[in-house]
Amino acid sequence: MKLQELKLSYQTQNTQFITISGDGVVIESDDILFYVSLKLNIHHLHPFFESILETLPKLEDLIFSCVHIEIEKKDIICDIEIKKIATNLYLIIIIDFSKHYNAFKSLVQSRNETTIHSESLIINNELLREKEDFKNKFIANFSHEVRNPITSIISFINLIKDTKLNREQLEYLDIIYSSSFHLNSIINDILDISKIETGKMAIKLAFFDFHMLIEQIEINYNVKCNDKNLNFKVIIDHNIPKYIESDSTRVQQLIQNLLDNAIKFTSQGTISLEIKNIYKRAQNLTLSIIVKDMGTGIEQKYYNTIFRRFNRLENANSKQGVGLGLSIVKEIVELMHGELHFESEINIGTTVTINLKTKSLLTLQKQVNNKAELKAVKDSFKNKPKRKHNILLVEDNTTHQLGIFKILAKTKLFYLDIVTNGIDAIKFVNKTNYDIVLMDFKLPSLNGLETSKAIRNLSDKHKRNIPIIMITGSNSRSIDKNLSKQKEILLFDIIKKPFDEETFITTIHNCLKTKSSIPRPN
Amino acid sequence: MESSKKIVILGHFGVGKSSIIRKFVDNVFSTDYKVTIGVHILKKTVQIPNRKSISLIIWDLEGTDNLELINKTYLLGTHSFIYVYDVTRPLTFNTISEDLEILKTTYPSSLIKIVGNKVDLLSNSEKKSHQILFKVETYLSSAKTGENIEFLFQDIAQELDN
Repeated sequence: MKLQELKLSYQTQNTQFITISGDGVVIESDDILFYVSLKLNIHHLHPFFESILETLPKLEDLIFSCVHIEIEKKDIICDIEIKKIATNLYLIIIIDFSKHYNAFKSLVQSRNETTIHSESLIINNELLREKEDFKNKFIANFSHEVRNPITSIISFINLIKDTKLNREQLEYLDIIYSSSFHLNSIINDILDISKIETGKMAIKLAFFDFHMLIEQIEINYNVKCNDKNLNFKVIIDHNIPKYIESDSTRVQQLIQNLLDNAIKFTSQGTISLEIKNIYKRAQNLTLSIIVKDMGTGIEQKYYNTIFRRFNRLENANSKQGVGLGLSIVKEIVELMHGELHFESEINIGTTVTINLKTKSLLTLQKQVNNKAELKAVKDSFKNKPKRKHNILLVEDNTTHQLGIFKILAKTKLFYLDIVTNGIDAIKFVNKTNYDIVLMDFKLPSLNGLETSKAIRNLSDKHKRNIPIIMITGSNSRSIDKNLSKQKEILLFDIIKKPFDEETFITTIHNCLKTKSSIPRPN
Repeated sequence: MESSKKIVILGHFGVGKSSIIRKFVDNVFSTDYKVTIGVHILKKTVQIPNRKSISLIIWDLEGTDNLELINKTYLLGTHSFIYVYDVTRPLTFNTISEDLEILKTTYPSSLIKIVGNKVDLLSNSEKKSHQILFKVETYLSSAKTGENIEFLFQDIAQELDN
C-alpha cells in the first residue's frame, strides 16, 4: 500500500463527508460514520444542523469542536467543519473524536468535582466562622452585663454576714455566697474562653515575684483543702529565682485551675503543688509546675477529651463546674508556648504537668537559697501590719463606699477617709499622710487616672509617691488597656470589680508590704 | 419548516445547566453531577397560547467562569441566552454584572435571561435576597422540583415570537 493510500485510510476511518445545497438538501454522503439518505433535508438529521442552516448563506468556513450528536441511536462526540465549496454548495466534514473527548471528559469531571467540593468547604467554613463570631460577641457582652450585679451580690453578702443573724440565716447566706461566687467564676471562665477565641487574650510578659505568687496560692489553697479535709503540700525547688519573667496573672490562673480541678475530684488524701527548675542556661529557664491529686483518676480512653470545653466526665463525683477550667489551661499553655502533660491512674490519682519557658532577672535576682530564708519570706507575708494604716478612699458611689468601709472596718487595721471627687482627693493627700489611696476610676470631673496624675505631680516627694490602687468596673477594652499601660508609671495595682474580700485585703497587704520598694517617677 | 429559535445556556460549571434542560425536555432529574464538555444540542417544541408552535433548539454549553473562553462559533445566530448560576455558590454569580455587559455588548439583539438555580436549597428569606441581587429580572428555578423551568422557556418562546 502506498503511503498516500495509507494516510487516506487513517483519515477516512473516523471522518464523514456530506455535501448539501444552500437550503440543506443532502447531495452526497460517504456514510463512514452513519447513513444519510440523499435528498433528505439535513435539518432532520440532528437539531445541530437545523440551527446552523440559518447562518449558512452568511458564512464561509466554520469549525465546531466537541459537538455531541446522536444519530441512529449512536452517540458521537465530533468536530464538525462546514466549508462553502461553490455557490449554493456546502461540504460538511464530521470527524469522530469520541475516544479522545471521553478521556478528556473524565478528567474534567474530576477537576470540577474537586473545585465544587473546595468551594463548599470554603462556604461552610465561612458560615461556621460567622456563627462562631456571633457566639463569642454574644457571650462576651452577656457575661460583662452579668458581672456587675454579681459584684453587688457578693459585696453585700459579706456585709450582711456581719449583721446580727441567727444560725439558720447564716447557713442560707453561705449557700447564696457559695452559689454567687461559683457563678462569678463560671462567668470569668467564659469571658476568658471568649477572649482566647477572639485572639484577644494577650500574654503580657513582665518580671514578678514568683515566690510571692506561690505563697499566696499556698495560703488560699490551704484553706480550701482544709474545708474538704484534704492535705495540701507545696514543694518548690530552692534554686528557682525570686523574680521570673512571665505573665503572672496567667501563671496564677494555670495553677489555680489545676488545683481547683484536683480538689474537685479528690475526696481524701493529699494534693500537692510542686515547682521544679528543669532547665537553666544563663537567664533562660524552664519551670515545671506539677499538680498531683489522690482523686478518682481518669480512664485512658478519656485522656483526649478532658481538655475539651464543657467536658465533664460522666462518672465525675462532683457536679460543680461547667468543664471550662482545664480547657482554659490548655489554651493558655499553648498561648505561652508551653507544654502540658497528663497522667492518671484509676483510684490512685492524677498528675498534670505544665512546662513553661521563662527568664530570670540577673540584676534583681535574689535567690532563696536556704530553708531559713524561705521561712522568713513566708513569715513576712503572713505577718499582718503592726500599726493602723491611713487609707484614703476616692469614691462617689455611696453603696461602694459602704462596701469598702465594712471590709476595712472588719480588719480593725485601717483608718479610712472618704472623698467623692478628684479635687478633694488631691487636697486630702496634700494635707494628710496616707499609706494608700484607693481610687475609683469613674469619678465626676477628674477621673481616677487624671487625679492619679495630679497626685504624682505634687511638690512633696512623699505625697507624690503614695501608692495608688485603682478600682475599676470598666467593661471597655480600651479603658482596660489604658489602665494597664498607666499601671507601670502611676499605679501600684488595679482591682477589678467584682472583687472578693480576700482579694481586696491581699492587694492592700501586698501594697503596704512593698510600697517602700516601688519605684516612682520624680 | 416550523419556526425555530436558538437558545444558548451558559454559566459556571456545576450550576445545573444540563439539569434544567433535561427537566424541560425529558422531565427527568438526577442529583448525580455529570460534566458537559463542548456542547449538547437538544430540541423541544413549545406551544404559544393562541399562536403557532415554536421549536427551541437549546445549546447546552460546557460550564466556564470566563465567557471569553467560549468557542465563538457556538454563539453564532443565538436568539436568546440563559445565564445560569447556583444560588448556593457565590463564586457562580460574583461576576454576573460583568458577564451580562459582555453579552449585551457583543450580542445586542439577543434576549438575555438570568436563572438562579437550586432554589430548593434556599429558605424563603434567602430567596427574597436573591431576587434583589441583580438589576435585571432573575428566574429562581429548581431543576429538582421543576420550579419555574417551564415558565422560563415559555417566557422566552413568547418574547422571541413577538
